[in-house]
Amino acid sequence: MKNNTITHGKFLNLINLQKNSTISIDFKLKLQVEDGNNISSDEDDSNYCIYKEEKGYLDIFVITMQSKIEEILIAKNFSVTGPFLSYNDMIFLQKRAADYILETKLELNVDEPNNDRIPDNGNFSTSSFRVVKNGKITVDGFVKYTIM
Amino acid sequence: MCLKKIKIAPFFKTKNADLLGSSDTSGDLNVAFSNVDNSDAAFVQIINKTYPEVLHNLWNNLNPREIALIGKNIK
Repeated sequence: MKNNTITHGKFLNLINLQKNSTISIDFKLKLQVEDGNNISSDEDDSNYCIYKEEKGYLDIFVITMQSKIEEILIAKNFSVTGPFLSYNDMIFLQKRAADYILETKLELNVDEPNNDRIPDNGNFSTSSFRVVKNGKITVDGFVKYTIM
Repeated sequence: MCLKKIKIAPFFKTKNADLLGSSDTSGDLNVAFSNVDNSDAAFVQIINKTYPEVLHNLWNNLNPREIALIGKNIK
């Protein structure tokens, strides 16, 4: 078994304490996809990929998460600068003006068997191959506050 | 200095894929085989579960007064 760890959604927010009005937060993200779908031959090779990053699910997840975290911080009376991908992306004035850093990091672990593509010379064609991928997807992570 | 670290409860989802390709070079799937792949569905389900959990955690644990108090004491 190999364990692929992809770190996604790591972003930093600079926060200041400040008085603000409260706003309502929606905690729902609804991404839809066919469940246990039969894939037709019309579809392209990207169907073989496991992570489906090219379909943009992760991008939507990360962007939505970033904006919602910002909404939460504003609702909790913080003023926010960012998000930044790393500490080095912040300029000095931003660092000096900020009181705290909020770091959000989510890890996506996918356990899968190594022999994902095996030759299949049986029923259909001599050059045919078979892809069997059975495994476990795990999402794990943390949210961390750091004082500057 | 780390003030608080909120761990997100891990989520699991089983993924199953059984695909039969007709040609190794083209990568086309064999239409006569019942090609099943729930990787997409499993992945989307798991991030749909993770999303509200993370935001709820953040909402419940972010306390500006507490952070300000700790920050003042540290400085």
